[in-house]
Amino acid sequence: MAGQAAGPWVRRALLACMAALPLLALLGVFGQHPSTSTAASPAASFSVTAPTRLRSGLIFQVRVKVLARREIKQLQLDFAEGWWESMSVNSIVPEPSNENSHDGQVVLSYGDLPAGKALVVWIYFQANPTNVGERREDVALLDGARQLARVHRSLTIFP
Amino acid sequence: MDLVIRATVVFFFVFLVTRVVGRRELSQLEPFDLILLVVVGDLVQQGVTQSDESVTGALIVIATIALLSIAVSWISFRWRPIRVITEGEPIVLVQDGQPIERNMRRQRITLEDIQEEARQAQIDSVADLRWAILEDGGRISCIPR
Repeated sequence: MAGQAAGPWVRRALLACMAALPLLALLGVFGQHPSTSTAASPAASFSVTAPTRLRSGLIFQVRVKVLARREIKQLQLDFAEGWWESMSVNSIVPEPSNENSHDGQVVLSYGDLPAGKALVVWIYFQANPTNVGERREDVALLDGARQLARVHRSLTIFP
Repeated sequence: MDLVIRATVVFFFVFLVTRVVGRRELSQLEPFDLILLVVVGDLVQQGVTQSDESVTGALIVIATIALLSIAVSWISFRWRPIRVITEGEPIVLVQDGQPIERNMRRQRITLEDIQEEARQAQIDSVADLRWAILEDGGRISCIPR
């Protein structure tokens, strides 16, 4: 009898657990709502817009914006290793004049950016199905070898 | 978030399709209906999950569809007008041996269909039927005179 009385409550508890999934998904817990990280220096303001949570297989956009307050002669964007590990890169627009790697970081060069001008770069990634877990995704803005600004980000990819 | 919204939109659209296609077709599964089911299944998957290959995404969609099914079932149980929309009502096809042409035409049911159902119920002919009723699930109930 006690088992029969508990039956509906067990079913309701399981239903509540099941309802939690779409509810959390609606709140954006499982991605892929983008967020913007910003950094500023006397030389430039700098922002990176990208999702912080994803599910494997999803295509997503990263938007990097640099607004020069003074001329940046050798503008470079330095992306941490986490951006590229187990990711497919669909396209980078505009394409950099040069691509380099040092210590696992990937550096995209865009040349000269005059004071008062903005550079916006869109990168389209797809998370590979085996790419699961949390990754550091810092981005630094450089003028040659000199760092002007840096944003600290991370990305969580659900299985 | 988009996954839940897409699953919800597709759930209600597929439900609408099942209501438009008709209950008889859904219960019989003729070759054309089988094609419809396979094609709809494939297209629904593409539309709902798109490039999502994650287990998380699959769980979210399954939970959303299951919850919507439970919600529609509960609402139908509580309110009869909603039940009529979601499940429909029994439709009389034959009364006292007389086929009701208008109802048969609306449900795309031929006299041969009713005769077949009557034979399966051990009834010789349509004239021997007191009632032939198309039930909510698409089955035809035959009651002899």
